[in-house]
Amino acid sequence: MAIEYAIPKSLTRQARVYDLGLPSGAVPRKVGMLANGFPDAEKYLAKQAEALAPHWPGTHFRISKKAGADQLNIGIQEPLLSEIVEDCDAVVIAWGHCGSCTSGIARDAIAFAERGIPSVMLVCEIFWEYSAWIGEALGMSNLARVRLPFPVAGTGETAQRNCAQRIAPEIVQNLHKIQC
Amino acid sequence: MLTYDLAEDEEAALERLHRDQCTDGLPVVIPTRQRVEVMVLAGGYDGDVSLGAVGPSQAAATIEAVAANAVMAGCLPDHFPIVIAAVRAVCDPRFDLTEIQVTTHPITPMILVNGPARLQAGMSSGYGAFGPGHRANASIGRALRLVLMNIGGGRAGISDMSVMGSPAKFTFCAAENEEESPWEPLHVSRGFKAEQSAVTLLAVEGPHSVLCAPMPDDCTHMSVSAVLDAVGSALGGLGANSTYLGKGDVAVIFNPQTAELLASGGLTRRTLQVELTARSQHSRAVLRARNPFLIPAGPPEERLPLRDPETIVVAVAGGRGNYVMVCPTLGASLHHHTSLTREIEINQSCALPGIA
Repeated sequence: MAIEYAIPKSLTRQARVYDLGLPSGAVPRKVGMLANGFPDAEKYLAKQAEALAPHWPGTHFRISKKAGADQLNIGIQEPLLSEIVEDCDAVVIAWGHCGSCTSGIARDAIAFAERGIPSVMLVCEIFWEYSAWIGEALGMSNLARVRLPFPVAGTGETAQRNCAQRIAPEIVQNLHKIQC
Repeated sequence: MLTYDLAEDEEAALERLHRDQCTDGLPVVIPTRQRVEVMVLAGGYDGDVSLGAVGPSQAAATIEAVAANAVMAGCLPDHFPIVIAAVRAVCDPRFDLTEIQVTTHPITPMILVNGPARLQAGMSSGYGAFGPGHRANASIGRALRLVLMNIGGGRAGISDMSVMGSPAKFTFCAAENEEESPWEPLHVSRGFKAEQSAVTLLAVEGPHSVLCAPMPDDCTHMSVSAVLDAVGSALGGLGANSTYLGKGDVAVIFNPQTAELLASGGLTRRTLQVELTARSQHSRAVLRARNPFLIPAGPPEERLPLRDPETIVVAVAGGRGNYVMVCPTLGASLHHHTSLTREIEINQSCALPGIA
């Protein structure tokens, strides 16, 4: 005789869908480069800004550090959030290099989206699937992401510069919502 | 609203639950409608009552969904009020459950139970209290883990990014040995009355054993200072995240014999916390040499971490001997995944045959 058994799960809340992008063809006035405190994130973002510069002539880049390495999983707090929102047209967030910091940068991306600012998260490949899941779990699906190799931190100047050059077009495509 | 499915028999249902990633990898009791309804009644709340949002999925921990997971874990109705209290604790935002679930660190909730509910549920606080072999301890801890997986969405490699995982993630629950403790029960030290029942939830690593005398099981050569030094050094292990971050509540579980020795030396729970804080520290130079990212420059001889002694949760459990259990932690999240104590509401259930 058939038995009836419970599916031991609850319904999750409905996630909003991320749908922000810079106007097509527009060159952003200033782009925020937000480092999350993970080792090398700030240094890498400086290289990323250099690699993005030829794609956006005249754009300024603002590099900020969100917090120390002991607060990787915490989303961006005030007053830095408002400062970047008021100062920048878009944000590049680095990086998803561990489980904690991937949830932290997803929180950052959602915070910027809620203020109308497009952003793109740089996520190492081993946290790629998880980064999509955690964004949705935290309330927003389809967050813009660009895949990094793992590891990037600690790989040295040359490897990081090459990585920044390689992914710069993907960052531009994601922020302009150009279909790859 | 809990949904139900049909299967040919219990064996088929078990295979589907495994297939649909609803288990911890071990066989479960099939959560039939009747079993879930009995468990709901044992909790004393309506099935649609939510105990909070379970991170990282933020899905609602409804009583009926928690009951289904408690059934699967092998809980008896008498265990369910303890499971409810534990779920309420982990859903408190100060527990930082999302961060606990997603980190690459093997942190996991530990449940310590105090008060009359321990006895009513048949929990163990003596030899091998943290298992295996004690049904209530094992089932209650397992129920929380299944809630974290099935409602919270914690899945290895997808949303639970713990590099190694931990056997403590299967179940991690014991009662405090109040009867043999020289100190007031843990929940009393945290503001509850002795006649109340409570769970204390901590997010910690699995157990680390500490040898407190020159030879194992040679209790004649234990001294207060040797015990404090041994436990302090284990708490401040140079491989532990919490040694560098100095935040996050850690656990020290003394066996009754060691606790008696410390109490006879005049140590209260509070003075013990202060002593252990000092003995878990290192010089800034030592810590910074190993981790310049987390330890900023400063006076090289300064003793770190500057931990709040209250963040060392001291309890008594286990059999007699000289082994003590220490659990360091992660220490990084918005609220530093603070430990929380919640009352267990017993005797709330309906008066039905077979229900407590």
